[in-house]
Amino acid sequence: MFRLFIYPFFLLVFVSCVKLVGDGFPDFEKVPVVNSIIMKDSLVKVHLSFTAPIDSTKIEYITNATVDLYVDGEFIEQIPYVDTGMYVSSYTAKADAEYRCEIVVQGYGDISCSTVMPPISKITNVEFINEAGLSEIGAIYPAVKVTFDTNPDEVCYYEMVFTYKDKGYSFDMFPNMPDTLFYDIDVNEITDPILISEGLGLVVFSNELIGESSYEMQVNLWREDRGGSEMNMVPFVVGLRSVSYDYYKYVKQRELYEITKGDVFFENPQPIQTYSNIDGGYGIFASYACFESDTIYTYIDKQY
Amino acid sequence: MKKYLLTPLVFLPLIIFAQDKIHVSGFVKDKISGEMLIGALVYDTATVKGTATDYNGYFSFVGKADATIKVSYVGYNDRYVRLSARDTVLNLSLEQANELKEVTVVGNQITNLNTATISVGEIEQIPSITGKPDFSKSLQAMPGITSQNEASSLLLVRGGDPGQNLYLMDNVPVIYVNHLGGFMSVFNSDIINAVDVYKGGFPARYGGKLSSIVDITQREGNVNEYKGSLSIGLMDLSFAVEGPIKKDTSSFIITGRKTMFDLLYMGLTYFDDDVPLMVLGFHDINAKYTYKPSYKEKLSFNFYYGDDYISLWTDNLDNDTDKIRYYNVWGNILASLHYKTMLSDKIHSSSSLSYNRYRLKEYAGFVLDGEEDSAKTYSVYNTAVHDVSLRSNIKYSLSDNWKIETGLQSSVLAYQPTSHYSNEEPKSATEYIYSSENALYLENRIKLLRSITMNLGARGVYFMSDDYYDLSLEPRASLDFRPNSRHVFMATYMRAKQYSHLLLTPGRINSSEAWLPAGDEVAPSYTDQVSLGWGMQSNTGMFRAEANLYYKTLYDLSIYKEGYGSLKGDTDWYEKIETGGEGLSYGAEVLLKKQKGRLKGFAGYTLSKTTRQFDNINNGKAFVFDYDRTHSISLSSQYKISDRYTLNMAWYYQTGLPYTPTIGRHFVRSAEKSSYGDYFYYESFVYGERNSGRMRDYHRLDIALNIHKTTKRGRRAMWTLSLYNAYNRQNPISYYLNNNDSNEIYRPEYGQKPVTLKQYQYSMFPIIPSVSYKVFFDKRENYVRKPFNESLKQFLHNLLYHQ
Repeated sequence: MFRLFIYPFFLLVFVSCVKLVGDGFPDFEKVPVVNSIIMKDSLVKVHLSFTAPIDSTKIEYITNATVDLYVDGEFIEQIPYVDTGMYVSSYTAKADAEYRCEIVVQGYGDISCSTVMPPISKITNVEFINEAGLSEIGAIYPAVKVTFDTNPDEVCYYEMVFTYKDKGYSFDMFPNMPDTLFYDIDVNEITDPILISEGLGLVVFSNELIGESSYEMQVNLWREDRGGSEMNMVPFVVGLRSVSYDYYKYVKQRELYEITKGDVFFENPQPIQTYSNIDGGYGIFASYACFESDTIYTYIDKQY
Repeated sequence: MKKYLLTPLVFLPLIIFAQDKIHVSGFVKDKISGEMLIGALVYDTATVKGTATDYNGYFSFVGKADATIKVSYVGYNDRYVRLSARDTVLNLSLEQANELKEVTVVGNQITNLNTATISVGEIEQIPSITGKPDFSKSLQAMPGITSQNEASSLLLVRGGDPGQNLYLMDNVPVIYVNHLGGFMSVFNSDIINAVDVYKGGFPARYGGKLSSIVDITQREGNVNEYKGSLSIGLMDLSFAVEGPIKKDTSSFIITGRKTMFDLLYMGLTYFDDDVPLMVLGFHDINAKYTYKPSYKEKLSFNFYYGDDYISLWTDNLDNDTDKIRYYNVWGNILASLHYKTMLSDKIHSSSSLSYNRYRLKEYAGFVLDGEEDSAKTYSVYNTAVHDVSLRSNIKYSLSDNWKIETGLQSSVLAYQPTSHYSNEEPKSATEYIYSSENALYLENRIKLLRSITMNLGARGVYFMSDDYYDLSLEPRASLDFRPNSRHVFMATYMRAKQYSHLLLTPGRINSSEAWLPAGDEVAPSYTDQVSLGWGMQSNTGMFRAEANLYYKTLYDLSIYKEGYGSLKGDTDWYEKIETGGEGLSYGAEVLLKKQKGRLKGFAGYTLSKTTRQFDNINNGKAFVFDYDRTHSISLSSQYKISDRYTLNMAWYYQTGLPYTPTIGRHFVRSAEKSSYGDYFYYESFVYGERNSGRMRDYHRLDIALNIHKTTKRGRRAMWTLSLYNAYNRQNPISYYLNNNDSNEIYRPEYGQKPVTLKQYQYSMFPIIPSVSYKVFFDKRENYVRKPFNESLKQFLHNLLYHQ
């Protein structure tokens, strides 16, 4: 008898209701968006597009902008447009230099953005641990202990990435598949105190709390990579990126942006925009210099 | 020279009305139960001057020798007492009136225009979602008080945050005040005697929080006879038992509640192999023992325990060898000892010693492949506050026109904002932070002229936490002008400081409350508030009206930094807190009340604006407060159809809540490379200024029919049939974007092409019928069972002839 009451009650209370509020949105002013992360030993690339209103599916590329590149204050070249909003320079970026772009988009104000690419920091040792601990859900995880140099006299920002490279195979279905495929290895539970102090589950950090010229950081990894291969069968490379401050902010804030994208129950905090350092527009202009370790062969039981 | 000039001012109150005056003090209580009557009026019938009883049922005023005083309280027969020529202490009992007889209440009834007072009767009249009375929901109908969002019990007072309300249960602070994420309050209306909410103009005896003081006085239990009640509703089962331990001397009262759907849910999930065994609910128990060796002395002991819980096991799942055990439990435990005594006819003192603990514990345990010995892991997260407090208060009538109230409040608190362990390894800071808050206060109630009374006071607080300390002085002042017995004008100023901060993410059904003390990193917050008010009551007491204007500033506020919603899992958790915020709130409140007749009720209206400003939020620009509502209207009525039937209705209208709109989209570069070694670009949202959008307005009608009856065994009983949201208004809880009408939120991801988006609202709580039944166990001879057809006839007659 009681069920007769309780079921309708829960049905009524917890069955939610969705209703269209309106399909019209307020006018949204179109502004340029700059996306450029300059990497050491890579060509300088700048991606330009416009913002778009919510009720439009088309995000326009900017194809006719003037993009002037300066390195350490010296004009290098006007970067030519290539395709799909991308402007590609013939200049190969070097570490420890300041990059600036002066961008003119017709009908919009001039945009100036700059970044300082830090010098590289060297990885001095990498140690792979096949069974480093148990995660909160009881899975055994491997880890890498990475020792690297840092300059305790100035605030430096880093990102560590773990990539394994696989051989690409050409199929009829994927005729453009390159010779080498790259897979990022996901990071497991954070236990290193420097990473914990950053407050997010990312391997992006500053050296403010390190205070030494060398630091050994343990990063726990997922046992299985995205390709489904187990870690003890995969050769991989550790990359230590010395990143600009804007890059550090961008990566952290993008993580918060992802977390707060919204929830119908308002369980999430207020939404937060992705970090932008472009005056008069949106986007990011940042840089990093990456030092890659030797390839780590992690196979234990059998040869790769 | 200055002091000489001031001397006449100091003695002015003593000079005025010095002749043939006597001091009258004492208590007013219910004749049968011995329960203290709070807010009873005691006044001289000739001059219509007097006072109201406080939360101890105590009163004290100066009257004329040989005058006649009248004691009145709604629902009770008036009582007249002839005073003697000397100072007098009275122990007065009032008898409950015949229900049909109206009580005439006149005089200076309006005591504080900044106070929303609500009686148990009023709480029971306002329909609620569960069909059972809830005092928080009733308070939210008062001007200046709103809820966080639909069905929430959290109070937001004059633009304050939920953590800026001091809840006092018999003068003891309570830390956690909600059940089921705010769905119900922890305060059981079965044990509540009266509730006062101070929205501003706090007397100096109150402090520690910025926005309101919710002063809840509990009942003491019947000293003459055993009574009880049992109530069953769709949400919970509750009971109350009370009675004398020694007649006229000591009494007890015990109340308890337990959700029922958790047991049902557990039973249903136990037999279902596809879903984990799950329990969700709460239970609480309140107990009070009171010992009165004489009417001048009282000793009482209070106990409260309540927990909410979500628990999950996967043992019952058929084809899963990995086992999970998860629980999340949170709640209060409180114990307090009180001693109250009348030291002389002019001095009344009360003291209490209390312990209160709030804690939240989250446990997740895993057993892989069912091998308990080999791979059992767990994670534990705790946050807690412990509070040991000593409070002492003395009321002293210094002269005919000068009363003082003074006392001290000393608390030692231990905060554990976050503690996170994984397999016994600490994953975040686990240490307790100890603090001590000590306050001394003094209030002076001085009658300057016959029609002007001033209340001047101050509160000095010394706070310590680790190496941090703070000394503050909080001035309080109010001025009453009563040109006649029906009108009152009031002006108040107050400063209050708060040494604890509540961080919470709204909307979660499991608690996300984390408290942290002020310190070097997080400064104490403080507020200044001024208010002007006018109140009047009609000659017959039929109507009452109040209007208030207020202006409130808040400083050094703390909230989560943008993007964060928990302190969990971080050693450097202070980095997640944004400090140094400022707030501004101002508004006007109007209350109209009809207090007599078959139709009673009130109408409340609030016009307000509230903003917040933090350096690193919304680019440093002031933004609309998360729960700002420009207009708020509440209409509540109770129509007594007959002795047997009462119809209660309440209608609410509020401006829609603000939200942060999504206004555009743009490309961002991916964080990771594709397997081809390239970075790619995908869609990201552009948000407008924080809270710059408004959801649709909120309105709702609730209806409840109370049917009083007598059971076959002669027990008094009541059925409540209610409709929540009677016209099924779809009030928005949130807005979100999607390209279809499912309740999935559109989330731009890598490789996803932009789609045309529309804005949808998500709403819960459509029309909800509910039923509850309450049976009272008291003396059978008090009630006479009426034949049903007679009652029905009366009901139809009243309905047809609008009586």
